[in-house]
Amino acid sequence: MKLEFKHITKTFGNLKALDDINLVLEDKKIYGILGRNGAGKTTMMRCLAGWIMPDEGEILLDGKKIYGSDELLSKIFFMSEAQTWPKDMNFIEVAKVCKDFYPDSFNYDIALDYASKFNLNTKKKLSKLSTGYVSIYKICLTLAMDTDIVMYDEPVLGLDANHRQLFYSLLVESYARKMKMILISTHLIEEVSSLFEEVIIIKESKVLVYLPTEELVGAGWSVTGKEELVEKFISDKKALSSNKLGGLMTSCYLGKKGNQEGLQFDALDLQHLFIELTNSKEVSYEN
Amino acid sequence: MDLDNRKEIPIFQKIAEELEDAIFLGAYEEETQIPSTTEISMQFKINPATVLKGMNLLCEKNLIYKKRGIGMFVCKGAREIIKENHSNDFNENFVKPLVVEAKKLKFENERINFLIKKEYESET
Amino acid sequence: MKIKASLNYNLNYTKYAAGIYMAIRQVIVLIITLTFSLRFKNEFTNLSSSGFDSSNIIFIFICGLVFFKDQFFAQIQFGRSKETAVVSSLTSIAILAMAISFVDFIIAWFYAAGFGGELFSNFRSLYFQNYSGKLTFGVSLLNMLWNFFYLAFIGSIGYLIALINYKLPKKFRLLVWLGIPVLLIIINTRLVFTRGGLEFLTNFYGFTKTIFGLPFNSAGSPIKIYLTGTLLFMVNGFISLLLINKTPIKD
Repeated sequence: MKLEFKHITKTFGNLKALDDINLVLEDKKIYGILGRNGAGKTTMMRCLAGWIMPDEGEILLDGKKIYGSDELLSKIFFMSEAQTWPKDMNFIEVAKVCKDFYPDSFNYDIALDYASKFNLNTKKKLSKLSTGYVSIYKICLTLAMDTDIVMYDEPVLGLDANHRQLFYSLLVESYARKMKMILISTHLIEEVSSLFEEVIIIKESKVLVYLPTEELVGAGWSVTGKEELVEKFISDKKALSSNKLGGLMTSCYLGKKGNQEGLQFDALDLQHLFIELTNSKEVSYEN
Repeated sequence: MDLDNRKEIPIFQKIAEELEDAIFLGAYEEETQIPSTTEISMQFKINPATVLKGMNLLCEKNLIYKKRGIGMFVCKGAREIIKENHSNDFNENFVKPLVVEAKKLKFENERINFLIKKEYESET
Repeated sequence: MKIKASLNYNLNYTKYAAGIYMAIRQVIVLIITLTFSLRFKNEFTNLSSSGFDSSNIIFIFICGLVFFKDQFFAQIQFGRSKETAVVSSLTSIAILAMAISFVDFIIAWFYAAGFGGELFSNFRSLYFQNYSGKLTFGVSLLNMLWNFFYLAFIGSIGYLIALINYKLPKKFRLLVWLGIPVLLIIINTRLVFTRGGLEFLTNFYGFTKTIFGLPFNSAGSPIKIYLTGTLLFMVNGFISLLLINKTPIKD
């Protein structure tokens, strides 16, 4: 299964939401889509779901254009934060609708089982649920969906810590039940980073990074020590940011761990690496 | 049950270490089945592919083996192998860092020996 | 184009709304007719119950208005293209029009068969008010078809208006909703009070009536609506399909 974003550009009025996005996703893996608020993640997902027609470029699934094709669109399910869900339906009713629209991909019983695990009131209309339970309503349906591609846009909005952990567990279960391409966009990076096999970072409407998570672990480090020593150390490295506190300096850089005397090295976890990369002026990242 | 905190160690390696510890402690006995990739990945909220990679690492070390259609089993003699590996790594993992740190603090050799002896005697 | 699930969804709630509307309508008609006939005991002209099917026009127009947003969003969420959303909604409108027409056909037959006694014996639907004829089975069928075509067309107008309204930026919407009626009033007042204007209005009025087959200078033809209604329904559909392409999902 091959998903291709070819030169995708989308502008809303004066705002360029996506700027020449090129990606090829080939395997049934769990992909993390990371980016700051307004970077373009949701727009990218909406384009993939066929909700938006890009101004330029096309999105292809196995070589065929997705936009406008019922056949291909029914292979993609999008858990969106938009108001597209039937407001006046309770969980049981909307689950029946899902079964109707996705007869081969939706698992009705599993959806109900998940709903009970979250203590979701299946008789309550969507419009009457609290923010957290609105998310739960949507994710229980999405978790039970076995389409080829499933997308989660900020799935854990409003969920307490316990429910978030439950979600991650069930996400793994849904993936183990049937392997599919899962795209998740989230701001809670550290919680989910161990679920991602590949990470895509969107910065200012462009793709900054597209790498396996493993390669990003140990790709960034922070070095701390006496100012002169740190300055000397990072002079020939790709420095990201620096902090000085009196005579103590900490710098973040891309590269390998050093072993100089008098310097302390700490690996940057994915969230820190993300923050550094998206903050720094540098835009293109070479491997 | 939490995995190793160090950020620079790849997750699959942490999983392998966790399973190794469990085998060494006797929690997973030899010739018995260990939890499936799905169970482990659900427990730790980790991608199953990563868990599989960790298990493959243990396979290479001859600690676990695969029974087709059933799952992963602990090899006979795995505990012995682990003990031997830990013994071999002892110098690298514990003695070397101890000496490096001691040298940083400018401790003499005799001082270290004295401290070690003291610690041994108090433990019992 | 996959459409079955979409139609199920679209008609899901509509069934209840339509059923309730029909029930309420009949109850109101019954009450009014009984009241009138009790008041004027010797005059069983049942003017009160004639033409009550004109309320269908308002009902289906509102259905068309309401169908747009909820169904568009739902189709998009559940993996259908925007084109499918339009086609399935318009098809649902046509199905609704058929259902309403069919129910009225049954009701008319009830009355013709003598149920309700003299109260409803002279019941004249909109069709019979426009075209002469006896209440026979064949004519009733023509009545049903006539209803279907104009109701479907009116429903599609409601849908198209809702779609255009949705696409307009907020500031323009009020302008349209107020502006068009105001403009019409101005034009009409100016036209009515001039000879040429009066002539134009009469001609326009006549033209419209003619293409719809309603009696104007001649007896009119109940069949014209099949063509005109279908054509206009298709045009609305076509315009909707064109417009839906770049329609964003707004919250």
